[in-house]
Amino acid sequence: MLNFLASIGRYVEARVYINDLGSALTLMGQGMVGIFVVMAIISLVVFLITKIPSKK
Amino acid sequence: MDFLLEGFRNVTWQMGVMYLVGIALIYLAIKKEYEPSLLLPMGFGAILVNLPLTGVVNYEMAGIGEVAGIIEWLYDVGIHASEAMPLLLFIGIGAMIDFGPLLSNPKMFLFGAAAQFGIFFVIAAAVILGFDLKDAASIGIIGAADGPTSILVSQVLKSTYIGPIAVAAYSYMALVPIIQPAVIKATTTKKERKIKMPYNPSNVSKGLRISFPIIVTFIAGFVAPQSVALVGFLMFGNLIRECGVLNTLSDAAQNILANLVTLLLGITISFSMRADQFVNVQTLLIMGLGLVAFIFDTAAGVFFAKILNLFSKKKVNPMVGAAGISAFPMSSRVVQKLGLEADSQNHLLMHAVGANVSGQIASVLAGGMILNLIPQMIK
Repeated sequence: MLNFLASIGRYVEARVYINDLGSALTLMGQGMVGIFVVMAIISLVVFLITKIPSKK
Repeated sequence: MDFLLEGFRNVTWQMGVMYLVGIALIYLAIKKEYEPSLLLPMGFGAILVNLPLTGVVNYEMAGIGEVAGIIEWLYDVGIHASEAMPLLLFIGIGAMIDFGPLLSNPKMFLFGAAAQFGIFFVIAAAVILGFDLKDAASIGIIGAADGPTSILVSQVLKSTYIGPIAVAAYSYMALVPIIQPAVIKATTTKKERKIKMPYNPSNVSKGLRISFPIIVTFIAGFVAPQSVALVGFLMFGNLIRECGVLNTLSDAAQNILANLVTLLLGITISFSMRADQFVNVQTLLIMGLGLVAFIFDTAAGVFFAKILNLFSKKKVNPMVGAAGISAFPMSSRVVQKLGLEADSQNHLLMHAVGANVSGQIASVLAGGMILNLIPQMIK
């Protein structure tokens, strides 16, 4: 009985571990894409503003 | 006279380790000048909170009840309740930053983004080493190379390792001049380090300087709402600096506010350096992972610049990519020094400064992204 419960415990632990690792890799993908997108948008807006001719 | 020995009887070996940690931090601050404004208060605070029966944390007094300790109170009010201290520090930091070199060369924004890779790599590494996702994310943010962001993110995520995370973040920021040259030299050839980049800055108008913090706040706010506290306070400080009508407030933010909060933040964060929480194997793992984060940040910046060079006619010196981390101005100085080492006429400082201040925006965005994404993953 105790062995059975221990094996369930190990199974749950392994599931949590794999879930966390999957989440960490998803976070890596989404996080890096998110930062690049925001920085690219800011960069584009700044670039466009610098192209607006100033009043003489 | 038994009461005179009570303190001695309550000392544990873990407390002894913390006294050594405290003295080591004070030594590094004074002798090596490694982030002295933070490491010295943290070192002294580490001794204060680990004295037996100390009065700086809440304690029970016989016949009286609970008595408040000043460091625990500062921690509860200034960090735990609202993350006020790291956020207020961002106003001062924002007021100190001149975004001019970045605004005159908007391409540099992308280098700041690339050099945040170490954060996410270390989150995955920390999970593999057995930390749960919230703690792993808090450890990964050491790679933001930004002390207040590390403290804020680990506090919001209620990490139990806020003390080691703060120590790692500030220690490695101070060690950037040692860590980065080794990584840069390992990932670039001498020929690449010799690449010259002419500096022809376009004129940055006052209107752009004023509108920049407002634009960044809007974009970050809509895309990553959780980053608004971080980005917003940073940009608020910058707006005070650039508006031109609040010079006194700008001076106060850059000097009085930043110094006062820094002074209190260091000693307050030491509350999380109590022996029972700090002296364990996890602390060593966190220090190791923090180093890995800085190494991968630097390498990712270098490789991103190399990839850009494949598609661009105007070659970028890959070392400039390494300056995309938030540690300002240490990282820019490292790149300038290595550039001159490779060729005495190779001046890269202004390009590196552009990438470096871009890293300051990207690191707070990374913190915001983590705060946005983690709750969705653990619900």
